[in-house]
Amino acid sequence: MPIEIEVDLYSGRPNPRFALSAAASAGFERRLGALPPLPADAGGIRDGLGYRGLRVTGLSGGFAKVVVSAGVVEIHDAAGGVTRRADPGRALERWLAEAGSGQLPAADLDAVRDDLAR
Amino acid sequence: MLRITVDVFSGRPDPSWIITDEAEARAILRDLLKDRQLLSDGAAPDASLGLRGLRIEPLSDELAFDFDLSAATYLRTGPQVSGRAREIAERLIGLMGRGEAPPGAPEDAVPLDAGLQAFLTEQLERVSRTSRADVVEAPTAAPAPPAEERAAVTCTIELGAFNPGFWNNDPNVMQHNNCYHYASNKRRDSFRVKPGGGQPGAGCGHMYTAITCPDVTRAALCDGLHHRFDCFPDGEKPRYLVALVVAPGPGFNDFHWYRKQKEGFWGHKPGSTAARNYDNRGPGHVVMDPQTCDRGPYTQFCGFFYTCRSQRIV
Repeated sequence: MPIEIEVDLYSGRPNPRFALSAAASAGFERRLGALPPLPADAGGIRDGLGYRGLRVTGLSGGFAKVVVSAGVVEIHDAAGGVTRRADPGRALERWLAEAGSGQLPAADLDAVRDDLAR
Repeated sequence: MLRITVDVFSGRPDPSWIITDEAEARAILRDLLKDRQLLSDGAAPDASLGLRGLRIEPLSDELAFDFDLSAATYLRTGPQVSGRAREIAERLIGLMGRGEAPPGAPEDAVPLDAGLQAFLTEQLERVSRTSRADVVEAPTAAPAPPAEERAAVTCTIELGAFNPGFWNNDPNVMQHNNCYHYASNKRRDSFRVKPGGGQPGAGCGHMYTAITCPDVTRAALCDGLHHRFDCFPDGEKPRYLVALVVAPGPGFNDFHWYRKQKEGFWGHKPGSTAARNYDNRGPGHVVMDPQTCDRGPYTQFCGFFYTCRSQRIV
């Protein structure tokens, strides 16, 4: 099962999705494992109207999903536990979004890029 | 064990069942007792025929001791109770299917079957709503409808209690129902998994083709909604007041809906995220008017509408 990325963007319309190649999947898992701990006073993942983050499913190793959002990474395991890590400079989020280039509609990718640029 | 008795009938014995799952019983009591003000000694003084509340009795002294409960306590239902009380009542009624009839139940007791559960759920829904005349309230930043429109027509609508738990507690429900499902108060578990799920116009077979105020409005009217002040008859209850907004783009282009709640504010559900009553600034900024709240990129206010019982929605 390929790793799938859902761009959590919309309220009414379904969110756009894309799949990672085998090489990109391995790259993502490597980057995920290297993330630093999250500072105790860090905020949470984005919520509300507009771009919220990237939702990753189809992972191996007992992970249910990973949410990458605004410098915070939430790793949800199959047992319901959640681990939080930092994404300094939103580097992982930026890398993941660009992995969707060629699969995502241009307008959707631009919306994410605009948010990352703020 | 916990015995639940629904205070609903006048002549026949009230339905009663026992929650035998100790963990389930404790979970419900923990939730209920987060706010002891939800509890009372009995029905409201002005309670009338139909669903009045639920009597909750611990059947072990251990349970009563652990939760500091007397022999029986009562959870009222009705238009004056909070969304939390209604949510817990709904949960208790939902557990009927997994409960057991009390020993020695009277012969004429109503069977604890799907029909009874559906009846009680419908009763809970009915008594939790209020019907009121839809009139324009105190001036907001946006102009009110023309005076002749307000004077000529007053429609009766229903306002349901804010019940976010219904949409948020089950991950499957939260993920697969969007803003349109929430505003319509019609759970379909179809968003992201079924073609047209939660998309205006999909119900009537003519989904929107562009996300603009005119086209999404057309699609919603096709599903059966009416513009505000185009009244529905009582046969179309519940008739909720909802609002449509659009993010026009270029780039980010989407629609979003809000629903007026009984408590006076507006609830909404951004896509697969949680239902809430606050705007894009976060908790503490309750939506009192979708025309003027912080809507993020949804900058165009398209209008107010009424939903109806016969509205079609995928």
